[in-house]
Amino acid sequence: MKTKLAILSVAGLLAAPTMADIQINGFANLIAGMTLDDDESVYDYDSDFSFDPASVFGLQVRGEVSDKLSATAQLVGRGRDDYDADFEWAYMTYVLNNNVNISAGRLRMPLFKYSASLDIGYSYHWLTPPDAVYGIDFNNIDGVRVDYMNYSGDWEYGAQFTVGRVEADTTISGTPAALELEDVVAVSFEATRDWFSARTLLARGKTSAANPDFDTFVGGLAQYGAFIPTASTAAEGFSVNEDTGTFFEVAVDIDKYDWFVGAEFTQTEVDGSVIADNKAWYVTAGMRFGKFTPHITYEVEEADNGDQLGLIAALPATIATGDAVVDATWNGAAGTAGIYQTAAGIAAQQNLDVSAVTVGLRYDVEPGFALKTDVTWYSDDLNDLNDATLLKVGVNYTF
Amino acid sequence: MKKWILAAALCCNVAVADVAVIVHPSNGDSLDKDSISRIFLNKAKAFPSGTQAEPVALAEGQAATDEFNGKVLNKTAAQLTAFWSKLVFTGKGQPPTALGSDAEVVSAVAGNPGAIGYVDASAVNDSVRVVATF
Repeated sequence: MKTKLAILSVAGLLAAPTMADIQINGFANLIAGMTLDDDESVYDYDSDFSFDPASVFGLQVRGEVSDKLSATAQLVGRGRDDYDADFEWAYMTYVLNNNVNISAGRLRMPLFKYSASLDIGYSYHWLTPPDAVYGIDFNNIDGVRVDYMNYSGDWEYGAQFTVGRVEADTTISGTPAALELEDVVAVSFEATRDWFSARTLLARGKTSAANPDFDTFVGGLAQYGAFIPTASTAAEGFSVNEDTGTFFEVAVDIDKYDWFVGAEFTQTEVDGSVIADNKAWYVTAGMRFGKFTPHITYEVEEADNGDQLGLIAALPATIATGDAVVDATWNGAAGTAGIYQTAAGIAAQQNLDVSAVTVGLRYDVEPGFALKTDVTWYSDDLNDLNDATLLKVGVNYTF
Repeated sequence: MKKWILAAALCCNVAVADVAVIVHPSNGDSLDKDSISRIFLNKAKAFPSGTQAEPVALAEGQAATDEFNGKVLNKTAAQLTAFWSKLVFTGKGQPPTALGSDAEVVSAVAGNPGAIGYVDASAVNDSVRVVATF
């Protein structure tokens, strides 16, 4: 129904040739991938050839209401959502002056270097940007963004100020959960001079995430506060309930056209929650030989669950209150995990230490149309069983 | 010496057609390569005098187009497409309207005090002012 409505409204816009300035642009990333071994899976790919995890089709309609005011909507269908089309962006932009734009509505959050053109595979050399840094649960925000751009001498620079709220799907310990970020404030800066560019972003927001299983677990843990003082602390420390989250990003890029190198680093912390402190980075380099761009990327993602393990260390593994049911629920029984074991298991799961090497080739068929192939060797330093080799081939198109 | 300069000019005219960047005759701004490049890449929205700039491009396939993109914007056609795709899909800007021939660009610039365009130098006439040639 949502799709139908969306198509109708786009058709409505298309069927209005009398409206002065309507621009329609589109993009398509058709990406197929498979792991090279039967029992391997990574980034939602397995050994069966699949188009779903990363393929994206989109259509953008922009109408100029006046010289100063425009409306933009982007209708996007993703393979992983069965190509159900969704309005991912719908915002209005007011041009305050030659240097300042103000946009309001649902818009892209400028979290990363490639955030703005994340869905436009044509705009970067990979088939998909490095998952270690870019594999987060949300990219759009409902709110207001102020964009400032200027230049001075040979430098071009800009700043963005974004406020709003985010609702997205996430997972807690592998189970789907609703993520909510409130009172989000983000500030970013970027500067470019000829072949050099750099940018950074700092964001914070009140973070909440919940699903019924996790709520039940946290509730159970909290009840043991009556018997174990540290259980209340642990329950509070595990719950993701209006906890302050901070996100920091920095990226640098050197592009001499014949060759380029780039690096990006991110750090995420949600204090007093089950979400472990996360650091991720990548370095990438490539060369351009006419229509061919071979490239290589090394990426790392690490999450440190020290805080979570600390909460577990303060809990007794077994208790003896005299009440058989209370004790068994905490201690567990043969074949059933008690609350203590569940908590220890969740804390242990938050640890992460993965890296990947990607080698790829881009071939520019014509302006707006590129063919690409990437091979990624993914390595989980905590569990070799998760190691995988992923092959992807794809087409990026934009008009 | 004079002869030598003349000979050099002749030689170069034969070798490559120059691109002339043109504005409306009422536009008195002087523009260098960087400021022209900024106007055509959506980085500057106005002329130094403060007048809003309305760049007019020439369609792909026209001789002056590749010359201008390469010499002034320092971009290949593929790079330019990638550059604009980033701006278009972030709502930051739209590429300049591209007209089909030198003559259309000349008449569009002649008819609009805020316009700036580029054409093959041989297509220039009195209805426009040349601010730079490359």
